[in-house]
Amino acid sequence: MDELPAFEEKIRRLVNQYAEGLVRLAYVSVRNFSDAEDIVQEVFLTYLRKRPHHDSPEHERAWLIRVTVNKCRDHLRSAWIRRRAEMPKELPGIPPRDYELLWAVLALPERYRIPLYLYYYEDYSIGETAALMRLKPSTVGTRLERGRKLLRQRIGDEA
Amino acid sequence: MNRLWFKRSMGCIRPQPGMEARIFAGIRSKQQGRRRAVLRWIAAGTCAAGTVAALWIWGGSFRRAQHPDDSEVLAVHPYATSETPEQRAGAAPKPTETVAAADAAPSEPGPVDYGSLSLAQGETLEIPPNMGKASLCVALFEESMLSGADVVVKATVKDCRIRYAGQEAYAQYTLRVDALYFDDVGIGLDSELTLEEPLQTTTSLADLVMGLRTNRQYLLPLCLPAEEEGAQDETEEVYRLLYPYAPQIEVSQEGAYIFYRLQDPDGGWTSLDNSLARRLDMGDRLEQSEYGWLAESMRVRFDEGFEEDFQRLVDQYCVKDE
Repeated sequence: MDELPAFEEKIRRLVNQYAEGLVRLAYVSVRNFSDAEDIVQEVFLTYLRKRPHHDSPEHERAWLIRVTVNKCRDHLRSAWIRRRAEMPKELPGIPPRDYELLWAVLALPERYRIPLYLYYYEDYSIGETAALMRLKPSTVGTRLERGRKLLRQRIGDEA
Repeated sequence: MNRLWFKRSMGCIRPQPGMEARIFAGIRSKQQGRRRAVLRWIAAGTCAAGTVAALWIWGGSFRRAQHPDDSEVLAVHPYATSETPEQRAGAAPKPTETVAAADAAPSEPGPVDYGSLSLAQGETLEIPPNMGKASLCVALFEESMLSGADVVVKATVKDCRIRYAGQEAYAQYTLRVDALYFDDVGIGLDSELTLEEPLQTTTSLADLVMGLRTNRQYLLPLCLPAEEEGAQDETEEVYRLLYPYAPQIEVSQEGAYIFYRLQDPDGGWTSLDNSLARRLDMGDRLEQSEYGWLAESMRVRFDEGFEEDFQRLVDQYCVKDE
């Protein structure tokens, strides 16, 4: 019995609504579009398997982000990927100034990239970011501070 | 930090056209494929050195037969290896005499016989009978991977068991922390940790030199879990091995440190393999397994400087957050 047809419309809606953002998040973590898409695919498969109930779209989005963060971490844990993860040489069509910041963020250690992304791009608070990453708020605060410091070292006080 | 600038820069990350369709097609395909097979091959081009580890795949039918209600079950499997009936009955292991490691080192040159080391008796996990077998090709462990560790501990394995959760099965170990080399989490000495590994990983397997055993002490780089929502009790911190595809550094009762170092290509604990390290002769313990590639790579150090070297290595790669 195929579970997908009954759930197909919902999954299709979720993919259309959230996939781009989740792929972007996964890309910030794993720095590879192909892997990022695979991870997001796994996130939706997890959704399909668990069929979690959420009270609101915000909770649903938070659940998807949290699972994506976890999947990315699992992915980076697989030893062989560590050698493969490389910085992108260039992303076409991006203004140099934006590329400079993007490159600097992607060059940060993974533990700083995701908190920065969730805090500055997804507008989550430190507490919410901590909950999504299952870290203590103080740890997220420290990682944000260190991430910012590293960015300043790389691209100057603008960051 | 200028938030707008950050958003604009990150917004430049644009998934390739057709991404949604690819993801959706992949979901359909995997959802159907998941029903037929659970064999998963991970291949890396860089592992030509024959870093083939065995991967045991859990037979779904066995689990279903054991746990038809699909509920989470904790089961302890005392493994009848060399433990005494008293130990099996729960008696505490006999205290062992502490011998200075350097004094215990064999005086004659050449390889050290693994059998000559004093290793605590204990139990490891029973291999469920219906496990299939597949190959996993992984990159070698490199010391720089330590940067991913959340804690690095010397710990004694107090207990082991298999945890069943729906379709999944995990090896679970209770560890007592004997020493801390790196702590980014805030655990304390003498505290107890739960370590959990999917059964497929090498260190979960029984009957192998690299399987973790109760009553034995190891140096373990660990990381915090990355469970899926609802997969585990969220209030309990469960750790995972940083690199579960090879033996962990084991501490013998005389205080010798057993580790591995590969040459050509370089891998394993390269910096610990100094002039004080001696080759460890594993006898035929690995010959009949798929871990023969480790046979020439096992090392042992008896010197007291090992821990300092290890701490230096950890300090080099592990960065504390707080």
